Amino acid sequence: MFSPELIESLRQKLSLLSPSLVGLGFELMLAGVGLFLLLLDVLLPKKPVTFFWWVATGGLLAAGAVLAGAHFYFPVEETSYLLGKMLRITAETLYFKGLLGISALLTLWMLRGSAFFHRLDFPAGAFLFLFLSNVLGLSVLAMSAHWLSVYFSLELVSVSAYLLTAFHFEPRAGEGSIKYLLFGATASAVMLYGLSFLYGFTGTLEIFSPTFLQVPVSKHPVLGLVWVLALGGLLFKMAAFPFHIWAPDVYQSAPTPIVAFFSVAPKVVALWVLWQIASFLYEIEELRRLFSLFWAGVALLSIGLGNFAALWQTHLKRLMAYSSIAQTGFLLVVLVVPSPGGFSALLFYTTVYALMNFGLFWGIAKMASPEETLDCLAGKGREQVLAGGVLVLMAIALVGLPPTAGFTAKLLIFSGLWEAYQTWPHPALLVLFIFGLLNAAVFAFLLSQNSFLAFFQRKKHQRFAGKKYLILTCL
Amino acid sequence: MPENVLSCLIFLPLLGALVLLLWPRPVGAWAKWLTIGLTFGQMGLATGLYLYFEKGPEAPVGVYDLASYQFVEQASWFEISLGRSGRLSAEYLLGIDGLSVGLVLLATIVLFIGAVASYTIEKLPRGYFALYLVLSSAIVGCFVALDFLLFYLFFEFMLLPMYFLIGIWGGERREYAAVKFFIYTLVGSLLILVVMIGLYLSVIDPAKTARQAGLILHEAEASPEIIRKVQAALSAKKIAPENQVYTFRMTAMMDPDNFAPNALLGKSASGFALDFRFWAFWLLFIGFAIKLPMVPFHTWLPDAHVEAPTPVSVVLAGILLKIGGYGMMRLAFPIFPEQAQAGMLVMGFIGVLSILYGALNALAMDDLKKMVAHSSVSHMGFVLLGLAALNSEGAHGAIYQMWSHGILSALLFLLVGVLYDRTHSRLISHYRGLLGAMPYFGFFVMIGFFASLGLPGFSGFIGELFTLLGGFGSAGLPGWLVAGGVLGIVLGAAYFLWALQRMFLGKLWLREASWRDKIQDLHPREWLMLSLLSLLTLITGLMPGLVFGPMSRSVEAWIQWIWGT
Amino acid sequence: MGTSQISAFGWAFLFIVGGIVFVVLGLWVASLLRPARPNVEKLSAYECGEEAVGPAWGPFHNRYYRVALVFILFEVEIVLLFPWAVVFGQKPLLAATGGQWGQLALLEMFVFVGILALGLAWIWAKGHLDWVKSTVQSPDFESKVPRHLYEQVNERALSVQNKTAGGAAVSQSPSPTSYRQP
Repeated sequence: MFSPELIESLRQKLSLLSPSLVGLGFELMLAGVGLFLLLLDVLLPKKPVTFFWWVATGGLLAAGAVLAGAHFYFPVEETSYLLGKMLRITAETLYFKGLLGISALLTLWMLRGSAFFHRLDFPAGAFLFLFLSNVLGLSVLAMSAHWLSVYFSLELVSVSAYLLTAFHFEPRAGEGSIKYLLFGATASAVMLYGLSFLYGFTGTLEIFSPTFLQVPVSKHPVLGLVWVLALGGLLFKMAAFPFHIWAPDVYQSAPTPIVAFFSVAPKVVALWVLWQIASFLYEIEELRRLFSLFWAGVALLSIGLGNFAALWQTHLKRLMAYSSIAQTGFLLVVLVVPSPGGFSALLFYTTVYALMNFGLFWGIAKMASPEETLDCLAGKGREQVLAGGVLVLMAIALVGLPPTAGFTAKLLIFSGLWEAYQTWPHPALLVLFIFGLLNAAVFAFLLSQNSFLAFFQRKKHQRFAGKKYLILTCL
Repeated sequence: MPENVLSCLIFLPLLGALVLLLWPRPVGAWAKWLTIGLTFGQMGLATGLYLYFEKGPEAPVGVYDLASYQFVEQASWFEISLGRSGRLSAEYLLGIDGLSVGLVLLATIVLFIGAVASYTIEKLPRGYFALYLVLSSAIVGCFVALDFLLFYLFFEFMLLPMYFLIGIWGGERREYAAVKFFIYTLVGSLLILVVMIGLYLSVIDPAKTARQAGLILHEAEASPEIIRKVQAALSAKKIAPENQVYTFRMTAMMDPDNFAPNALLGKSASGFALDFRFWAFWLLFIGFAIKLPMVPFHTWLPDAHVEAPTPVSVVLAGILLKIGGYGMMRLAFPIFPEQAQAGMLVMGFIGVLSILYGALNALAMDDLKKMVAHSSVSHMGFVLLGLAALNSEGAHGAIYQMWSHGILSALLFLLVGVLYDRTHSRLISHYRGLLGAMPYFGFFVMIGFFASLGLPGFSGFIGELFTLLGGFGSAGLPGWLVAGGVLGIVLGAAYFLWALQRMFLGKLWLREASWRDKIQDLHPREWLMLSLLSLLTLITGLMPGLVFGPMSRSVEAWIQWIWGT
Repeated sequence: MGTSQISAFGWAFLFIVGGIVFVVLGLWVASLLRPARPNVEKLSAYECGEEAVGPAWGPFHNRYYRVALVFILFEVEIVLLFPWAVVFGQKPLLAATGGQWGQLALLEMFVFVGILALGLAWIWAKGHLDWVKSTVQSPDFESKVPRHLYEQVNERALSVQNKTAGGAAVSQSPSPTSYRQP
């Protein structure tokens, strides 16, 4: 009835299970702590918010310890696969998971200082459970080696993110959340559609299966479109150009610590997955050219749209949303040329980016309350010197001015782009190179407005004069 | 002189800024004394530098040859692998030659004067003086850096302190002016960044590449033969890409043999749709022209100058503008000499345009500070004209004009500040017959105005004379164009003399009667600053050899380098 | 196996046909047995006590979604449990892997059901399953219209209904309105 091969493969899978469980220690811990939080919420509903916070933080720290242990368990040079070929672990994956864990810890730390978190009726157990689920999803996403695990983990991330957005419990929060849900559902449908095509072309969904390299795009022009569809879900999480529409509403309505997390962790992890896919596909010259252009286009449009739309914002977090769309564009520049040098640029940039964004949002959370409009920052820099200083410093770093690490990161990234242009002089790369660099000026204008407002009382008409002038410069 | 005097010049003020920032209690009056003391120390060091700088007919030239720079400090900063495409090395490389020694001295003098002028700052003293010290270290760093990345770092780092100094301590429309300054300069520096990335990925360091390729064990062993060998192998594409060590070193960028064969900015790069060397040169040029500032990129300057507090205006006009001219001399021209030759006419035209446009604007101004600001545009036009001439007189004149304008614009802005401190009005039409009420002030104003309009005996005359001589003697500039520059001098005389006549001559009249008690003559502190600057302009005007002496050899070498002889 | 004559889709098709037959047969038998006394109330579509026809943007209470979501969750769980039992309970596989195969599957399902149960418990504890009960409030309005007039109107409406009931004109009949005395 059953072939011996099948039985043999079952045996093999079972024997591989226990190392897989070790590799998934971080995720299992996260899931366990999340469920434990829910259980506590059922059994001890009267406990204060800080109690739940300590459980979540302690659990996250313990999971981090397990993650650090995984560093010793998995050899650095090798690639280990978990659960068949669903997930894989490399030294880099562990690094990104570590970055994720640190981001999560920073978010928890920011949460502790937020006023909304300490409201009496705040459902802390459920909130922290959702947050840990989000972290869990991202962590699985970072390891994914199979399109299905990419899809599932993205869904886990998305669903928890929709709910986390709504935790201000006010009509606008609901609006942001619903918009997020609708766009997210669309993006995931688009992605699934693309995946089904990919499966139809190749008969496999393993990301790193050589079959993907053997289907020539020139014979099947639709394949290019299919790839774009399949990558849609990841682009959605990164808030990159055609999938960015949700960002402003979500950023505006979600609690600030959560926004800080959204602006860092999903982007970094999705970028890592995209990087793996890109550097795998780039072995084929034809795909390399196609994708180089694709990423160059997406990066260019994200940078341009994000920065220019941000110019007109008066709400601080909406502004940050648009500027984070632009930041996504800068992150995506790395994908145009996945070379080993580019990878160190990626590691450097993502790490710096994470720290910069948390610093920035920490400053915003400290200073911009309660309305979170640009004008309410005015004069706050004098009252809260530390937060103001951090805000300004992080803004400078995000613009990429020396001597901050932000400058070094941008230097590395754009150097890679120039190199790519030297080997393959396509005008789109040159346009991206120059436009991307010059856009730092627009970005600087934006953030200089912020930091300015933080320090001086300002009058309305002057801002408009500045804007007009700026647009002239850009033209 | 000690070995690392240039580092001391840079880091002394930075140390002071750190002390100020980390001081646990509110800072007292000692903050201003610390700043004055540190900038004075800087000035002393720079004077020593000037005195010990090897001058004379046998002096080492610098410019394109790292070995003949003086006071060189060299240390590896970082070297990272870019994988298959090579390695990237940046150095902490400082040194001065004839082109920069005078400007370093000028910078420290003006910074000292600015610090003394800052004595009256009461608002947020800790922030002000810390930023001022950071600014002064960045400015000096800019003049002594020989590594492009290091230069760029200092160049950008000037931006932020300046932004805050204008934005917090400035006048009525300070926010607008600060943002405008910030954006303009940032755009300029981004253009430079574009070229910098392109350049360093095209240029290799032969010594380090030899080490990487295994020809020698340590880069210090690189002899000229080894270097030639590496360069030959490079152009024959015999060096593996992963062994190529890209460098930011300016002198390496000037040597066409160091360009990788497939580099877009290399000499042999052809077959591309765009002429990259052409664009790179003009991007650099525009980047520095914004700083200089040249018409049509000058509009940030009047705003920034007018809104900045007096000491910041002094520093801004006295030194920051010079970095634009210095950058052209140090980077744009010698790295792309053939483009500089081709662009002489255009650059000369822009220079003359700035001279005339700035002068005409100055003529129309009723605000004394705006008039001085526009006259800066006009005077810096002479610098560009001198550079565009691409001959010895012109280049000498350009550097001299930078020196002279640094002193004179500092003097003029201080004078405006003196008046503004007393009455809070800078409008020319609000005063008449001031000479009687403030005779010493009037005396210094006359020195400043006459020196600026080019009266022989003062430094302004020498600068304008030599740049115009260079212009007329230049093969690439037509006579009528340079004659336009001469017209600029006439216009300069017109606006300065007209302002003098309107404000100082005749019977005393003031817009508000209450000002009568306010317009006392100069304080001792103002005496100190004004007389120091006046003396300097007079001495260097009478003995231009003091400025010309150290730079001659380098300037000659620079000209020869550009013409390839 | 004896199924060689039927393709894979054939099996699915049989299920589809069987399902349709099962439903239609049941309805037909029921129509034979039940008394047929329709009225407009009975003939309207059943919608949980809500008004079946209304404007497109009519509000719909949130708690329907909550209960429906929980319901679907557990229904899907049941649907999953059945094939799980069939697939993982196969003796040869259990024997070949020394029982590990089954133990693993059992453990996984316990975890799965446990998580769902915890979720249910949480929803329950947080009161999301509570149906808000309306309390009846009798209005203290005294009508000036005498009671028998209302009853007359009611009777007339009832007689109209009875005349039209059972005929083809049911759908055109005026909406039955029962006038009650407040």
